[in-house]
Amino acid sequence: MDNLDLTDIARRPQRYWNVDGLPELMMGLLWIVWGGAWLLGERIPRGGVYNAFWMFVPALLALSGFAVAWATRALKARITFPRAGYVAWQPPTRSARVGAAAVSLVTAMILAATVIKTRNHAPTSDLAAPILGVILSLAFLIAAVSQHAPHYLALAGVAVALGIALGARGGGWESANWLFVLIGAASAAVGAARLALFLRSHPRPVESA
Amino acid sequence: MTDLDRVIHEPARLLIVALLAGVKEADFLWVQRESALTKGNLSSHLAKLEETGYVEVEKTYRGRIPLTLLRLTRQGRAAFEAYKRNMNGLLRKAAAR
Repeated sequence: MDNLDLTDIARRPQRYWNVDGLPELMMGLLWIVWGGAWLLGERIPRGGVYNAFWMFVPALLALSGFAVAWATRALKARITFPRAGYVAWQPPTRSARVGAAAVSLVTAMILAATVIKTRNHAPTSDLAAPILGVILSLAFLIAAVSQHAPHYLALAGVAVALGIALGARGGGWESANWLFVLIGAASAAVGAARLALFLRSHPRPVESA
Repeated sequence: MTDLDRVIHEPARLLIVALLAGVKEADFLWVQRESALTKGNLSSHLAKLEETGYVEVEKTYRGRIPLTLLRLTRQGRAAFEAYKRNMNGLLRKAAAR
């Protein structure tokens, strides 16, 4: 306790967010559902079911992000907080919110440009998987640095490798959907392994205070 | 050295304040795990910080389990920021000698 590193201490609450593997597990499951829903939609024969699917499912998928955030917090309240303590994180500062919005906007613009450029154009649509792989890899890289979580570096490597491999295999946008399913499976597996380790190392105490 | 807040300068209390500075609020269990202090030791340091007005302690229940919530007061945050500024100033002076 003689040499306190205040910068390291300030990062501990951020690290605590992924101490249990739940964020990776839930995010992985979400991506499997996203990629799987798109793959399923492409296989439905044209008709009433196809139209209904594409009318409702994309909106439900967009809302699923909020549902997963809520479910992650609820699971943390049930699993993590009784074992390792409760933390309410600081709400993000104005500059952090503006920064996150700017990054989201740029990412959405890159994605939109990719979709427009590669739509119905077989050779260039094969770029979708590598581009998405790089974007996901950058997101993992940022998470690895900001949350001091080296296991995200492994997921960043997996995202790039899968993006390149699926792009080389061809298949256009279907490859991009498979990328979501496979990176989701990798993330969920990492999350499940970390959750198992967390539960083993943090038995539930009789009382919390 | 006279500029340094003696309440915060004590290593265990500095650790508690630094931990609470990064969160909106946390419970006793989390602070105890992160600080590696014993229950009794943490309680006595919290009592001192509460007495100075730097930490707010709220005893409540989650279901039937007692829950002790801890948060830095506005005064506590200001004192921690001032402590960091003063400490950095002292370190710069020492380095310049």
